[in-house]
Amino acid sequence: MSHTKKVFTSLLLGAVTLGVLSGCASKDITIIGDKRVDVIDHRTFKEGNFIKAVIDLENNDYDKVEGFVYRIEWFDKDGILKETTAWKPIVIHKNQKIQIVEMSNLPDVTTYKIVVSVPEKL
Amino acid sequence: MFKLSLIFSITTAALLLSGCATVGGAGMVGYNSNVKYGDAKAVETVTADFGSTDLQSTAETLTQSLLESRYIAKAAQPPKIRLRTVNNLTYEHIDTKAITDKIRIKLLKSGQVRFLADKANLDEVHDERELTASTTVKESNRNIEDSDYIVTGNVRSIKKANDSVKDVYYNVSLELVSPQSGEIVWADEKEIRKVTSKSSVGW
Repeated sequence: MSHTKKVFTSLLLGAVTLGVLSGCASKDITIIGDKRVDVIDHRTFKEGNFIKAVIDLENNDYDKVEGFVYRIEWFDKDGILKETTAWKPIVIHKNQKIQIVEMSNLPDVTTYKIVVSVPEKL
Repeated sequence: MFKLSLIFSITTAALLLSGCATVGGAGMVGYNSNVKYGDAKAVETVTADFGSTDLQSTAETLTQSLLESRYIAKAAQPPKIRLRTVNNLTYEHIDTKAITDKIRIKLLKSGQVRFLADKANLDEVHDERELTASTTVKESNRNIEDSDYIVTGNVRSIKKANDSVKDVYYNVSLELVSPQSGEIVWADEKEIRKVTSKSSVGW
């Protein structure tokens, strides 16, 4: 195999891996309604026996987003939904970012999904 | 002929009636009525009064904070907690026990704490022990466990209104107190602001 071919194969493999990884990450986020809010980053870490999710949201619109709500769904290692938080209202002013921190209160929770619901602009 | 038409009428009526009874299909009664089930955890903004969303978000926030406190997270054994009164210092009726009961359910499910019977159900515990204990072992009634901590708190509100806007601010604060030393080992609060414009229905 020539050197160019090897480089091309590595690049292709890298791209496929990245694609698969980003695909996995986007499965954790569902945005319902207007796409005026972006989940720009989300990560978890262990806090004692529980997992904590840190989610960065951004309003990429010129108007503030009002009446937008979010909730977290907590799953165990078998993918069984163990608990859902209440829908929580939040306001993001124009072009601003906010950070949400939520902690599961069940010890067997291992993963989570963020659901964001944004109303249509009036 | 008359007999035949009578049988036909009865059969038709029976079919129609049975049809009415099964509107909506199996397992459903009154499907066409105005009553519908909704999402119990949906954000509710029917009025600016303290509502289900405030109750749920308060309980979730304060439970998370309590579980993070070192007196619970770093305890060698799950501490024993007794709920005491959360005072409603607002001008509206708020069932403060609903807040503490919700927090208790969440904390018990976490497995990080143990709860002792509170004032409301301690009488029931005494009654049960009176029923089951013989006269010779009634001394055991004194063996009710001491709590490591008690939970107390307050709900306050500030309301302001002008011709166009009504603003309501709620503050729910809870404290974890050691009854032995009287030390407040943890305290946190949940703040809620609700703004209603005059054009909205409800005030």
